[in-house]
Amino acid sequence: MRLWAYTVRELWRRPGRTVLTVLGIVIGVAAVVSVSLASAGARDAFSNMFDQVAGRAALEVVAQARTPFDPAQAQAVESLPEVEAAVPAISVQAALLHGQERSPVLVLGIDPRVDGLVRDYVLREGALLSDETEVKADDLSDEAGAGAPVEALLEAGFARTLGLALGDEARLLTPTGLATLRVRGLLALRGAAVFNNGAVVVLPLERTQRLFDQEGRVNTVQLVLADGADVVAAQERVARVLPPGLIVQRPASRGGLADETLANTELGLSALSALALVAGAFIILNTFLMNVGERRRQLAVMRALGATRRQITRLLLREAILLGSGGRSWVWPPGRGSRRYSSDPCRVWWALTPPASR
Amino acid sequence: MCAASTARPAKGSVTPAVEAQGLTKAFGSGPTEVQALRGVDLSLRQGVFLAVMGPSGSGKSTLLHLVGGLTKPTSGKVLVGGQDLSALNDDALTLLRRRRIGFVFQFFNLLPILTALENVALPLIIDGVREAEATQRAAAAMELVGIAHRRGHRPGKLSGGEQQRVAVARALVTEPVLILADEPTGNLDSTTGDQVMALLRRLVDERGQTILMVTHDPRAAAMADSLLTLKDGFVAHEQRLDGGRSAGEILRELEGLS
Repeated sequence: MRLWAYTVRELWRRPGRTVLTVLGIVIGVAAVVSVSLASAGARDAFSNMFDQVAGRAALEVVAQARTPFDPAQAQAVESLPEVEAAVPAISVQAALLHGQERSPVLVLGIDPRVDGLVRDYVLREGALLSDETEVKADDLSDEAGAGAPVEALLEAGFARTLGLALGDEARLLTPTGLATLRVRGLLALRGAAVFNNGAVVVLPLERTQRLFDQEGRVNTVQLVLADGADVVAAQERVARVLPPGLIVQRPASRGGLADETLANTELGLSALSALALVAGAFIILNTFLMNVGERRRQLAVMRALGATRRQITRLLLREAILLGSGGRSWVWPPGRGSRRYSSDPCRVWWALTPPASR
Repeated sequence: MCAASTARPAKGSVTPAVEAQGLTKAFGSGPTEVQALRGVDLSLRQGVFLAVMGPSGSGKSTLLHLVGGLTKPTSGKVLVGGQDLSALNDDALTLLRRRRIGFVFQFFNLLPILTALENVALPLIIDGVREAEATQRAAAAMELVGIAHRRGHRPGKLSGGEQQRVAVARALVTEPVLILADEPTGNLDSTTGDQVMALLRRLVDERGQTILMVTHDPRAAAMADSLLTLKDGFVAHEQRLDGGRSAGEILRELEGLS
């Protein structure tokens, strides 16, 4: 018989106590694991949510006066090594009319060739915008081109509330008059469709510029940085090459409130994790102390017979490792499983919050 | 201070198995302080069986614990086989206890999950002796105390007397300089108690084992070579018995002290 066999036999001798001890460990570990997993899930969900809204752009160039500008002014930034892509876009508030329905919308004019670099478009039905949907300025100058319906993407839920289906036409109230839109694609409430709580109309860039009397102008050029590029350093480099009147900043949707929200969430979740860790450790410690307390007499006898403190400590540590491994093996597989499920509902819940009434 | 000169010149070597010099022990402090021992000198030669008696609270168990290195004295020192316990750190003290002192307790204190043989082998296992050798030596110790036929039984399946025999075998297995017995018959009926005492006596007579036994039982004390009587932390009386005193005489003397 080796000394550690004493530990194993002691565990077998009192199966009820052993199971209760393992259960205490399971509960303690589960508390820590579940809160950690929930925290990680919530963290991912928040991060994903902001990524979807803000896109993958780390920086954006805008006019200091927040007025539209010629994107050619910002062309110099494309040559910087830190900048992988510069994606122009224009966003304008307008009203969408369909039958008796009139709904304020955010019109987002994009260049379909490059916009995918910064924003996601998850298609539910129909097709995305492409080069073909962009009618060039030359074509727009003739009467037929100017009067042709503009191909548009709408968020599926928003379109449903207006009674619009794929291929339907609606009218857009613009400074140049009423323009006819044709629904080319319906989007899931993800990526760019999350803007304005889904009340967004995505149009080709040049048509948008013309409809809103902003030919050749955009109100943002979003910058995707090269892998590993430092955002702060890149921001300084970009600022140096921009002409007066243009500034570079963190994307509006990612900065300010978003950063603060993420920081607050991180702080709250970290505090919760710490609390769970303390509670879990307390449960485990208490359970183990109870277990050791019951055997105090036996351990004292072993000390009297000549076992050193180190031997007794090693004996108990070995037992703790044995029980801890047992407890961990009970908790880990379901914990790993729940990790997968914890982030998706969070993502859906948080991303859907404002327009959930639809 | 008194000295218990429990010499049996015919047996053992010159170096005493146990020496205690000016031992005091206080528990607590301030107004709640209790003086358990107030200066005890003791010299116990090898191969001598010493019984320590006295009323409750006289310091018997404290003396046993101090001699066994289980607690430290407030002042004074203890030497076991010439080794000053106060000069040892915890590990060295534990090692000395493991190899040179054997314990026999009133409530046997066998580990219930181990068989009788494993209980006896435990001090050797703790000492890192190989399993085969530990088993062999444990079996020999059990043979010596006449309990070899119960080697595979757990303590729960043994009678009180058998359990105490296993405990004595466990105390003997490391061939210690000294066996400390704390009320070895306190939890046994008189017949079984007599058998256990006969066993201890035989160990002294046949093997030259040194035993220091604390007891309330005059019948048990009568089996010893010498009797040390404690009262209020002092040595109140000491005498050589050498089988010449009956339990009744010892009892009457004790009653006279209290």
